[in-house]
Amino acid sequence: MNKNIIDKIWEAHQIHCEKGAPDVFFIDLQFLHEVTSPQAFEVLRQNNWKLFNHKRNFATIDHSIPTDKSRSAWEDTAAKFQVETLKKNCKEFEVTLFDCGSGNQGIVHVIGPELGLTQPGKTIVCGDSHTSTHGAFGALAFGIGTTQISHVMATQTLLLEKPKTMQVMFKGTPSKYFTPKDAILALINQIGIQGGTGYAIEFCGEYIQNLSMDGRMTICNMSIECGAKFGLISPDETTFQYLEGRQFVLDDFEIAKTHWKQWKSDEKAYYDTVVEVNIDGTAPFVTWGTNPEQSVQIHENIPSPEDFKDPAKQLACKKALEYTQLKSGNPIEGTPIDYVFIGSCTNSRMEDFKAVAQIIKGKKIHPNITAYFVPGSETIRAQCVNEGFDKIFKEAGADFRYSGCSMCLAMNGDHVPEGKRCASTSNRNFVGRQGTGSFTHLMSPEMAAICAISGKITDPKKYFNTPQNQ
Amino acid sequence: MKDFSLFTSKTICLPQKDIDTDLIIPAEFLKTTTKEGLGKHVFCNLRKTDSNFPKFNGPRILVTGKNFGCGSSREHAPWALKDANIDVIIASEFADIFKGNAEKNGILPIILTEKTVQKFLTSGEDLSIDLKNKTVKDSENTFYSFEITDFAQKRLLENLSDMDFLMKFSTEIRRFDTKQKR
Repeated sequence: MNKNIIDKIWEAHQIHCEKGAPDVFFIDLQFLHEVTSPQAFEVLRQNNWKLFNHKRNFATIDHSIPTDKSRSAWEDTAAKFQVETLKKNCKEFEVTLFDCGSGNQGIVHVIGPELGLTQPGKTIVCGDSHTSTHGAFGALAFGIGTTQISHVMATQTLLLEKPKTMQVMFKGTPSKYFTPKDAILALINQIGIQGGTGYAIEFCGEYIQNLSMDGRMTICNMSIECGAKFGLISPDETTFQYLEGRQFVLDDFEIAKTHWKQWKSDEKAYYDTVVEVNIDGTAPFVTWGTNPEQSVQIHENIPSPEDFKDPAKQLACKKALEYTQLKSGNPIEGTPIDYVFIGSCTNSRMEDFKAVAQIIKGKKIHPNITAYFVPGSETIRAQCVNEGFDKIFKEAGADFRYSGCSMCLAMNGDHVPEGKRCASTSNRNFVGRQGTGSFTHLMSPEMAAICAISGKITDPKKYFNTPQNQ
Repeated sequence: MKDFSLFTSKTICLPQKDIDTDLIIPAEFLKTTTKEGLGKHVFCNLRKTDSNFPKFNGPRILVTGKNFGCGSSREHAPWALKDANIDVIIASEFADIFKGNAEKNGILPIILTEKTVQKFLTSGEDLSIDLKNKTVKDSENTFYSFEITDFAQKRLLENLSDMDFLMKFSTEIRRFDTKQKR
């Protein structure tokens, strides 16, 4: 039988299989951060277990770190203690920590690829559901809980059942302002937030092959938003070029490349399920509800519960609209916005900020808008400064901050106040996600940048058709 | 560790589908460095806006809508539920990461048909759980079978950890680690 990349990576990491038990599965690389690791380190200490291989574990600080300039001037003693605990644990167990100010700190799913730690064919875990981001490189990467983190620390393995496999094929040529963020929102809208539960997804098709690594990471990042723990893309020349010369690509590049090339799906490989997403002529997406499936194309109207066949979806629509205070039948376009957040492990990379800078250059942020632009890593911030984007953002009136998860999950103090509405490039629009009583509209960085100028949800096509914005 | 072999309990009913882990325990409570004491914050945002929200004051069984535990991988969600006395969660579907995390913390996720779950949600009746025989019994003495692998069943009944199994392979793992590229 012709194999897909998921089967190949899986088989290459099975250490032991027996009937009636999950596989003993080897993990090449574990990323750690301050929020989900302290209890795992504590388990090691309590049981007197050693860290199996400290060279397969890397840590950074991202979730609870302030994103203002001072960084350490914290009033939140709990968050401060959590960060100090990570530093202490990394020292004790000899784990490399990419600390603030090291030049390499950032959101864990941004720095892994940036440093060249993320490579094709690797199995990668982290105590964070967006770990599938690393799948963009043809790695089998997935989020785990803290108990499993301790198992990987102590044994470099996990007990795992193999997931089913799903091929997602994007077909057609989308409209001009359609971005990778819109492609993944289109899939989630089609199959629902539980449509990928139990599956590992391989994203395929010409649309995917033509994307940069930054775009591919945005797509793999949100696999979990349709329930899939794993989402990946077979590596190709784009992948190899990205990795060339990166710090942790230790082998001779040509040797490494030969090794990486084995990780791709065979022609006519078998998948348990195949899903086609028709993106031909499709416009950018924006969410209207309280989960990432509840979205429409920018020119469409906010749905009403009757538009759904499934009674459960009708109820979900009703409840979501009650929360987001939007009216069925109204266009989503024109909805006034209070906050704009450009950042998160979904959209905080150089390509995102290039697109944003191009739109913002010479413009002013709308007076009603508070704009947070939060780069994914210290490296990206430095690159932005190098390109002069910091000046462009400052002159426009946006707050260009320091790297971290920030307003995506609002646990570091950066949050959207109660009753305020945010245009956000992050991955979740759950009730209260960006702050108690706040409303989130997920969208691409391009659309969010346009919202920052117009003060309302705006169709990029109409915006760019206005002479002064061309 | 509570006995899983057979017990009867009142139920807590949350009919909403797609309850995410942000709702179970919001991010503001993730600044802790221990597993303890999260039970008092479970569903705190829902509790704030709904004065009739059920109290987690004794019942060991939670019955809820499909796709329970979607979103973030935070193990704080099952820690909070366990601390709030929950040992069994019944739904027609669970999110993958949450389900795995729950099982590792002595919570039994039971998958039954949506029709059965809706019946339990409507009646709010007491239920009996028999993990040895893999059944749920309702107040009319009707039995509903559920599936669980022998491995997972044994792990819960005997309070085992994956580590007990993994440790047996330490030599093979060490050998694999040495030949595997970093």
